[in-house]
Amino acid sequence: MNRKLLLVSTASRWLGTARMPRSLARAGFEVFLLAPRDSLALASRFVTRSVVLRDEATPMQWLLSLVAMINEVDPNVVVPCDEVAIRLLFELVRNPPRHIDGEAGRKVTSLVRRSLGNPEHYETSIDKTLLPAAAMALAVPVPRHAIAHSVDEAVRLANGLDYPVVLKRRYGFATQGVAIIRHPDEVRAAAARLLRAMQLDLGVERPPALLVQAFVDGPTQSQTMVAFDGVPLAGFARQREVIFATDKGASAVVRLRKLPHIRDCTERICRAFGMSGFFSVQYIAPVDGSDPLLLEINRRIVTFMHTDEHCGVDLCGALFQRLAGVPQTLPADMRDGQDSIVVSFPREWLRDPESPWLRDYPSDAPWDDPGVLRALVSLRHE
Amino acid sequence: MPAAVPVLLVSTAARWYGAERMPRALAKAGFEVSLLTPRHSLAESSRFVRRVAYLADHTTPLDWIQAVAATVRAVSPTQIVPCDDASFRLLAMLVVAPPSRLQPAVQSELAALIRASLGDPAHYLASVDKTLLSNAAARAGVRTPPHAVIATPQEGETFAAEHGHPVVVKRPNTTADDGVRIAASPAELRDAIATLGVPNPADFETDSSGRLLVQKHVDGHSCYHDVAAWEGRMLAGYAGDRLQTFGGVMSPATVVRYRHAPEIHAMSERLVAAFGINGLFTIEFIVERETGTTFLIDIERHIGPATHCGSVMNVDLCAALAAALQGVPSRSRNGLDPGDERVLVHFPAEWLRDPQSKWLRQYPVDVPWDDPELLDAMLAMQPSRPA
Repeated sequence: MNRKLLLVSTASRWLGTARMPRSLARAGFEVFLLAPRDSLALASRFVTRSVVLRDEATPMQWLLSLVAMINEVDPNVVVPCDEVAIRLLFELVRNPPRHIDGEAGRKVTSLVRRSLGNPEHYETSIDKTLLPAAAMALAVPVPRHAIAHSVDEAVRLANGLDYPVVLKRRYGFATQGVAIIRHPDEVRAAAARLLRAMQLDLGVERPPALLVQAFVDGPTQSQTMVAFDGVPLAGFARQREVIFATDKGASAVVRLRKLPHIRDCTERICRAFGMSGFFSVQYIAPVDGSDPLLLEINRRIVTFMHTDEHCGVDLCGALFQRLAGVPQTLPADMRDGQDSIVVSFPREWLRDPESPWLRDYPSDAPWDDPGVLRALVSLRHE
Repeated sequence: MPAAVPVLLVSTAARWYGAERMPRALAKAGFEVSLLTPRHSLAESSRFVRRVAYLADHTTPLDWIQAVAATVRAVSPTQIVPCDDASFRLLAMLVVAPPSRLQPAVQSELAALIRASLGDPAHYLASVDKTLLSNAAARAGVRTPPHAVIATPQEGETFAAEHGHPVVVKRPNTTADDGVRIAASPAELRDAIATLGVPNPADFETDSSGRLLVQKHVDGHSCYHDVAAWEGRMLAGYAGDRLQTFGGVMSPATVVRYRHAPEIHAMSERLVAAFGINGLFTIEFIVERETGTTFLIDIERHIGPATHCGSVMNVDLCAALAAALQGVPSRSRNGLDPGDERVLVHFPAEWLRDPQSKWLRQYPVDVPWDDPELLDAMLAMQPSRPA
């Protein structure tokens, strides 16, 4: 079996990217990395070889670097590590640039298809204006919503919902591309801002569209999985206990426990979209106790992906067994009764070095990856 | 808010775990912390140290005492806290058997501070000399393993013939596993007595009697009781079973399970009263595997690797000591309650032992999260590892 796996990254500070080489290497993969200079992931001792992107690389330069590395390394699978990386890979398959043709181009697009699954649903799965309708067709509940195609329409649709409302552009991550609107007079400016082009659009022009969504109060829940050809292989669930920073939206402390409802929804989505690779689906659990509602799908590495080992699941191992063509002997789900806290390092430490969570619960510090540990500790200076 | 109580931590070792974590624990309890240390110690990295005085390289005992005297004059501490075994013995010597070259005025000034910090000098020696401790503890009603004080190989063999092998042989003064042997056969016993009976050139105390303690080996696990005491009264303490050692059976703990331990608490209270102890220290017991019987092994009259850990369990030894000094009730509990249990992974010891340790992933790790320069210094201790 070809054990080579290529991590592709466009962002230097994504925590999940830095943590996955260890998990992948322990599963049996030989890990290659394409990443910007000063990436945290470059410090991992579990990366076999890395190529550093040129500073200020344009999307086309990134694609050319990727194609060169794929042709040189010949990986079995490619794994996007951030939102821009997944968008670029999707574009590579759906709208291959003229520069990338012939045998080398076919090899690249074939690898991406194999790694990420059915291209027909790439856009639907990550475009926030397309996802709610597709989810509802799969009987996956979503917050009340409407799609606006102009600023005026956004104002009208927002006024039809109870405030606060949430505006989301097609593509976004963390809190980029999202606005929580608490007063009607804030809608117009926010909608105008969100309809402007941004880096994630990759210069591709599409009709303007905004998701106008009812705000739902409650903790976020996530089902993180690995799949191949639309078949879920393994996954685990978590719920946010502590938010990292209100303006960043990320979790600093999570509780790992089975959440059967979101597992069921996520598996339905995975099969319908023919997904392959690592992904995480985020939901929100309304405080009234009703069923969790789908928020978004992250078809890439996420920050907590490596915490599978805290709950008896091995996502990388399951993928390795599938690619090796051997029966899956690793658990597909968490242990029954699993209920444990994981403190995200360095997030909780950066949020509050005196946090009681740090003292009372295990953290996910990379104890056996000293380069990454030191790099994460150094983040306190940034 | 009461004024901070000035305290001086004195150390002879740069890499002795415990000293580096105490500045934070003491500062949080209301002390103002000064430190006398060899250069390049972990403790000097702590942001909770107000002032640092450095020992010169290759310091003799008299040099060390002079450095203590100078630092005491500079910072006027209310308490002096030994951070390692040698520090306690040097402080004890300064009171009990001061070097003849020490000026009487200096000796008198320091002796008063040491008495106030460590308690009754009449028992300094008996509380740490292994050949004196067992009998003194027995007089206080504290159980010790069967033992004898010997001066010849024949006496050792007689003891082993009566109690069977293995036996433990100890010098009067030991530090960690230095000065201790477990002898599993008559040949090993003869070798241990021959080796340990030779006067240790590193000892400050002059003793050429060749006395050794020989003790029945107890098969079991260590249980540490970290204690704060004042005027012969135990203020607070917590007991922890050693779950993982750094190396062999006599090496220090890297993972400890803290629990409610009423019998150990009672034995410690008796020892504190019998020896008139003041200050922060650790008592080591051994819990016999087969019977669960607890025996006293050692008293370490200096801060230990877990002296700072109490605050996370609301049994804060530093807070208890501060309250006693100020004559007010402590804001912290005096011990763990029935049902309390907590596993704590010591950092960096367990990480240095095995970076892939399951303990590091399954339990809270005692990292100095809010002392970042100290964290950097600890991280720098790990040698480079191949992938």
